[in-house]
Amino acid sequence: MPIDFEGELRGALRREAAPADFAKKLRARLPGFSKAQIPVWRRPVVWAMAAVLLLAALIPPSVSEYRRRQRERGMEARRELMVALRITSAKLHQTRERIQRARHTS
Amino acid sequence: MRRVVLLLALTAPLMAQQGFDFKSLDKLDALATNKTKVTLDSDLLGLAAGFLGSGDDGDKDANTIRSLVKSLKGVYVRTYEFDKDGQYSPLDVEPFRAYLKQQQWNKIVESQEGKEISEVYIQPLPNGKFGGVAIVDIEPRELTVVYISGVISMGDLQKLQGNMGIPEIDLKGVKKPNPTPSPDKKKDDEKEDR
Repeated sequence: MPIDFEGELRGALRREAAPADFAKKLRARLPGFSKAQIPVWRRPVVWAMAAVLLLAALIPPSVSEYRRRQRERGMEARRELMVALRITSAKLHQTRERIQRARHTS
Repeated sequence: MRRVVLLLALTAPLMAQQGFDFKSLDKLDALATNKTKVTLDSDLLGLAAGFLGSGDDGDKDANTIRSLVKSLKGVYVRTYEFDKDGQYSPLDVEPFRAYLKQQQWNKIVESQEGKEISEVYIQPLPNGKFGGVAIVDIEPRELTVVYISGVISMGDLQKLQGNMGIPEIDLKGVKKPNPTPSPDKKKDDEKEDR
């Protein structure tokens, strides 16, 4: 009975698609990819949570500082506006008095 | 050459919109014993308007002022006080006068009493409104320049009288602006004011 070496070899070496969960199983077996072996501080979820906490701690003071500065600028602008209006009115008043005095003397 | 002329033609209106450069009066800073400088552009005016009514001097008429400020583009005031006569030259305000003339503002009031000179300018607009008020007040020991840019009506100014520390002013004597004043009419107005 002739042995079909070539055929058997071809059959043994034929290309086959890997099972769907092959990559997952392989990663699970590799020590570096095991979730249980990743330290807590290196997990992306932990980093994301830390970032959120940091932002939550930093943003409110920045917002309140910005509001405080805006309020200071606004109050200063308001004070300057009132000074400007008072000077304007006083000068208009003074001008009118001068005109009236000039009319009386002429 | 053509490019230069074209560039000047394009930038001239922009430069005119920027308004008077009050830095030209900064040289008086060192000579004055007291000075008041107010520079409020439209952004700061908007900010100030938002805080009207929050002061401790009782802004009961904040709405009146807020409505006036809403239409203003800029408020600039310079007041310099000197301890001796002749520490500044009346010519120091000549660039400001030239600017007003260039922008076709009308001098509606000019009064002189000895060495004291007061000038009131407005920029005429239709419908009894004007595009701004400017005041030049020259005294031997005091110089005041006021430049308020923006649409204002006589009614707006009258509403401010007696409010928030602003003295009462009788504006009946101040004429409403003529939208297209002729040079002869302007002279007549000035004579009447005198």
